[in-house]
Amino acid sequence: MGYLRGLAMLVARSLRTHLLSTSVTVLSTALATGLVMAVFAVSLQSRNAFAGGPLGFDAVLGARGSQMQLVLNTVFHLETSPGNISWRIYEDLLEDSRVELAIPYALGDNYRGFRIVGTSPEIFTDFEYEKGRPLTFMPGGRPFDPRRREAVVGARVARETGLKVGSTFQPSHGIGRSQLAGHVHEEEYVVCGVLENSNTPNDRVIWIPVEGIFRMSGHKLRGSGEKYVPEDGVVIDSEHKELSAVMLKLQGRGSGFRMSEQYNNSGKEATLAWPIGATMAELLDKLGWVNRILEFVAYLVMVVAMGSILASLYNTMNERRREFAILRSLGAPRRTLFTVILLEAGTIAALGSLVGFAVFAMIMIGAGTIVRDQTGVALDIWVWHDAFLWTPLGMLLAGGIAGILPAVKAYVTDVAQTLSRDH
Amino acid sequence: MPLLQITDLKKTYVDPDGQTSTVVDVPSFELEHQEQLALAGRSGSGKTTFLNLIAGILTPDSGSILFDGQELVGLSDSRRDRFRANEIGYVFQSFFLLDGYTALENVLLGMMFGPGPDTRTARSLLETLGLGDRLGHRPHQLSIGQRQRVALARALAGKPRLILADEPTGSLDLRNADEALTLMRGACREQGAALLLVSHDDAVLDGLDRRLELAEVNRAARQAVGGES
Repeated sequence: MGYLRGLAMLVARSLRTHLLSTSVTVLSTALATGLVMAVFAVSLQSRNAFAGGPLGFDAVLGARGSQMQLVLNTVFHLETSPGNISWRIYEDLLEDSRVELAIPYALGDNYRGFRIVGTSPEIFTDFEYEKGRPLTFMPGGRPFDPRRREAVVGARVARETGLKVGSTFQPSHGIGRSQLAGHVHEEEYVVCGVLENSNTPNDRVIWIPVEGIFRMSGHKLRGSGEKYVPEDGVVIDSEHKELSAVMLKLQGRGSGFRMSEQYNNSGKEATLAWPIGATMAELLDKLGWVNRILEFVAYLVMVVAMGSILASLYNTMNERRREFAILRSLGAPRRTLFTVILLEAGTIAALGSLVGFAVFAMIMIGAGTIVRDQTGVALDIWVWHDAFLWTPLGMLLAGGIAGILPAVKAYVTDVAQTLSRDH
Repeated sequence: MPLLQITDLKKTYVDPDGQTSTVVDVPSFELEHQEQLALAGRSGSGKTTFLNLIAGILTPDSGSILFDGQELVGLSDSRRDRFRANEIGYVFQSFFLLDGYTALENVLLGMMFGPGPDTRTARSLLETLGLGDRLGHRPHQLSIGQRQRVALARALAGKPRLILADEPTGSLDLRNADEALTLMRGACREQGAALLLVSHDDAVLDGLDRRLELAEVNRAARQAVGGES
């Protein structure tokens, strides 16, 4: 057994002797470490997921108004619709050479809080939420027939509502869970497909033909400026149709610039949110102060953990004076006792940091679940963040600093006086 | 050259009333290599302070302590620690074993700051002292006599040249005291270590090579009144 192993024995025995206070301190250190890492990781992952994650579209064209509201409403299926645009704009976009893919979205109804989006079958055939990854069906499913009252449901919708192929449901009027008690439409839809999980907001959506939204009982179309109520068996003239938004995949960045100029600066009919990631980044920047507060709280927790290391070691100093005096009588230099206490503080911090990774994982799994439930977006919680390195190192440093005062107390132990008292 | 040569050693304390009292005043004292010397001292005669001065736990106000020709007075704190770790084995009346450690670990601690811990030597020492089946026991799991033997093993573990024993049998009954003394003397002889033992028990004092009254050695002990120093 070498000198270092001897030191390790002294540290281990001491920590074992004070197992309860050691465990509590390790736990508080772990909570602090896990919390700090989680705050930074959630912040990074939220930005990655919302401002740079797999969305599949480059731009959204919707009613004149806030780009942010438009993106939240159509891409993340949050917020309310800022209004509608005429069908003609969609038809123009289908002919526009700058547009690679245009998919109509008509909103306004829900089923048990999950949004119903009226759209075209291209959402299942031409759309890819990530390169090479289209929305795929679970076995037995297929896209809806645009002429029928058929619906395709997202994975989470299926999980939570129990809808499966062959199930029927009646949409309710309004968007979101606040509309749970809203008017129930008389139309009955049949589920023809359930989508595989995509870890995107699309998992929380029920897709039906856009025509279905137009013809839903109680809906009035105002595409022409006049109220129009579709009649069964009568083709709806394009001038009456209206959409909540058109989701766009563009032909290169130049197209985005030109279209942004056309719709946002020169036009008055619609707003183009492009690029979608930039719009979300702007939102996250505006909410940056929340992160600052969370970081501040996390640092405070770290200081509290540091205080708990100090308190747990300092409180044992009186009862350990005898131990220090005995060790000194055996020839232990003062600096050895000083080192032992610093090592104890460091060990508590190191153990806390290790357990902190487990705490971090639990927080992230919890945070990831909440974010996925609320937005459908999956956080990639295992992506490397520098905080995984500097938080444990910072905690080790904090532990070392916390150990200085108790270590000094051990250093100045008066051997003769202490031993004569215990004689 | 004697192993230990002390000249004009003085140690005084200032009590809470501001009164200065001299606890140790030793004009001359010598201990030969491998000698086993008993110092008879009653409570308050300054015997513990005297041993602590020799061990380098306390520093004297004046005087000289030569250990095998090397002056200890004036050594730095760390050099005194090193001296104590390598040259001194200390057996206390209350044993002062560490509760959280096994018998074997307590003995290893006796080597840790000197020659370095050696499990084989520590184990062999404990076996020699009849504790081969108690290596993993903690102090509270041992009898008083067994604790005393662990304390002796710890003192001998670093192969010191001088064993200081402060009332080493004070906590033992007659049978255990006799046995402990025999073991201590035998072990010291075997290791070639000198033994300086202080006690007030005649049975113990008479069992060693030479006996001195502390009052003869320590002038301050002649005037001391009450209370252990």
